[in-house]
Amino acid sequence: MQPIRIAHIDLTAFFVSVERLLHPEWVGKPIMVAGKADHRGVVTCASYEVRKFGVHAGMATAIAQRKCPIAIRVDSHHDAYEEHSRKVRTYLKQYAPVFEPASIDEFYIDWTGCEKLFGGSIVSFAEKIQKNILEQFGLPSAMGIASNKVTAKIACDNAKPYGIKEIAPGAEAAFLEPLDVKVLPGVGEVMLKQLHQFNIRTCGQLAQLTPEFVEENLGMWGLHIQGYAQGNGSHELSVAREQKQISTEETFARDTRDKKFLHQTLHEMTLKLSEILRHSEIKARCIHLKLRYADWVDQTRQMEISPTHDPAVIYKKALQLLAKADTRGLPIRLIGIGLSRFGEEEAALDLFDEDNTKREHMLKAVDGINSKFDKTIIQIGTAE
Amino acid sequence: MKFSVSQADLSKGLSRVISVVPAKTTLPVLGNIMFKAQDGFLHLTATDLDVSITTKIQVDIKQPGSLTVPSKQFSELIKNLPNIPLEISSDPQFKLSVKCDKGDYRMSGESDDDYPALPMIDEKGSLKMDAKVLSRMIGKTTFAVSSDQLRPALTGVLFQIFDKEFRLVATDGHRLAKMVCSKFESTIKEKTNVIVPTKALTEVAKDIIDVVNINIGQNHIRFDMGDTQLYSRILDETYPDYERVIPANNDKKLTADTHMVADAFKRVSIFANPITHQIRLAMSKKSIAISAEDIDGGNTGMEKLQAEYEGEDLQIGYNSQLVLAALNNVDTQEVVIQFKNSTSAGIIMPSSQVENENQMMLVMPVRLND
Repeated sequence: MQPIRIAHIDLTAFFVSVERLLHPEWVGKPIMVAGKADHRGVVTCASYEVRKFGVHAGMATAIAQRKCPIAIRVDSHHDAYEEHSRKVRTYLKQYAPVFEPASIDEFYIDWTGCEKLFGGSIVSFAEKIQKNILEQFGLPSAMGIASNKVTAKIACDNAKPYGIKEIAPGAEAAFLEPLDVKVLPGVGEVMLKQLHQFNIRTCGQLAQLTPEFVEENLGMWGLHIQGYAQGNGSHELSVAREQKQISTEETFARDTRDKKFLHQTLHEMTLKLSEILRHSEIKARCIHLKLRYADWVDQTRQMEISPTHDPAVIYKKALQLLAKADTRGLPIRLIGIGLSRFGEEEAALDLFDEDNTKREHMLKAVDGINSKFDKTIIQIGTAE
Repeated sequence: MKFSVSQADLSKGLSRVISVVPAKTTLPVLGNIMFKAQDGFLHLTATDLDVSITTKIQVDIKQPGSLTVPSKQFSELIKNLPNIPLEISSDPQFKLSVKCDKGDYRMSGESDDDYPALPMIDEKGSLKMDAKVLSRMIGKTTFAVSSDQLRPALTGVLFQIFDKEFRLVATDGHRLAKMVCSKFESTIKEKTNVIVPTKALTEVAKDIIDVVNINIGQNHIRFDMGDTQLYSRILDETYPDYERVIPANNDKKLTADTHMVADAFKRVSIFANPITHQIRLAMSKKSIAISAEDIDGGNTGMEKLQAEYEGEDLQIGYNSQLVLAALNNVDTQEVVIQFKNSTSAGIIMPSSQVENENQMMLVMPVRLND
């Protein structure tokens, strides 16, 4: 079997890089994209010249300006960032049979079995890509390559600001061993405190613990993170584009007629599916609902919808389908929801678009924050 | 109840009401048509609770009375009989009998006690106008309504009554159609906005008569069309502020032969992506081209258009289906399309307006990828 090769590409200090493209006079100067200090703004991206002073993204602008008084504060220009991100995405897709945009400035590519494409080593090919992104778009980047997404991302962080780091197949655990456990996604303040209680500070120390110990003291989530520390992780890219349908279903521990519970389950499912759509930059035109009753009889319903990736729209439609499908009055054993007929763009722009534009911005912001933390920090609610 | 009537007259009355009978209903009585014979007329009524139609035909009444009859069975029978005299009667158990030269037919009817009553309209006032004009206004707006139940206001047509203007507006969010009429008589004092479901309007547009009276109440609207009255529920929704989205400064103008441009759109759109139907319109003073590309299928189509263009060069994308639907509603030899830029609504109009009327359509573009 061919070794799995996942590349993680991160556009280095992306917002700062774009601002420098727009204002070449800022090249080499200490700049930070940040909200105004007197508006309780925070830093969204700081140049490496500013980072030296201990300034980082998420820090209050007021504090950042105290730490680095020479920093030039710049307002953010999201439209420009979007535009540049789109150009890089279009470029990368040419060299990416399987591609997942993880955020505005981070991308995963599955290069498994692409030796012919490389025409040499994977690293020399990656160097060529990196050079082209810099020359064509003026954007510096770092790249990590490994056998799974988490290790590739950590390798990429290791290669920052401008390097490339390949972790050979089988060498993941050895690469992670000396690194601080903080680098693992899912290790927040609480988990870090717990780990420190057991004097666990490196990935290597966490990797060596027995699963029984981890499960007892750190729970299932701890086992999950231990897997990352051992160099394991998913190499599946979220590419609904290649698929005809994405779906999810849940069999309940006990059959239920509880409407509120069914609605809640549907809501969680629509959040999950709509996130995959937005990550893959596609919209769905058809929604499917599946019910399995206590007597194992299945009921399915489907509905055409205007192209969407908005969880609120999908949820509302799912509720309509549920009302249509749930006609037998029996307890329900399983509920599932699917989306299909994917496309990239809406057929035509919307005349009454103001609310939509606001909502799109909101969804983008939520996705951005969740992807930064690699888990759901913010969840989109319902009106119910 | 007992009366005699010709097959042709009864068939005409039935055809006027039958289309309102719902195909599926949880209330079985709605599958029936109500008959009421009195004062020399047979009154026929059908309803799906949202829309009700009642009409009357002249009959020779021997005994007045009323009942409801299964619409499908009864109308199938009448449709398949030749134009001969019919003798129709019912007994106290609501058994309906149809007798004629061809034979005797009996079917089970029901009492009309359970049949929904026609809505009471607490009239704000009424509007009288040429029925053919109303029919045309309906035809040129209903094509643009939305079928999206998530935006219920857009599933109907907005009726706006002003002092000197009567407007119909429909939109699905991607296109908009507006028809204005300035020739009508109205007793409605204040500016009135109501949203009327499309199903009701499709029925109104079918009636070929001279004058129509539109009566507007709090929850219902009634169209009086000679011997026929149509009642419809009004959608209790807020219509979006459509006037805000009608662009005022579209400074680029394309004038072309309506059929020629529609045919070119049809041919080129064969080669467009079958999902998005996206076509590209590239316009400059020198040339105007329509093109389409379906990358997945490897198809391309392009045509040069003989047309007049005034304004700066512009490339704009459209869903060809939306443009074609609009062009199909232009009756003049030439069509005028006005643009602002590649992301704003284009205005489509006939090159000249019918007297006392004004027609305008908007179509939003599709964002081009490069």
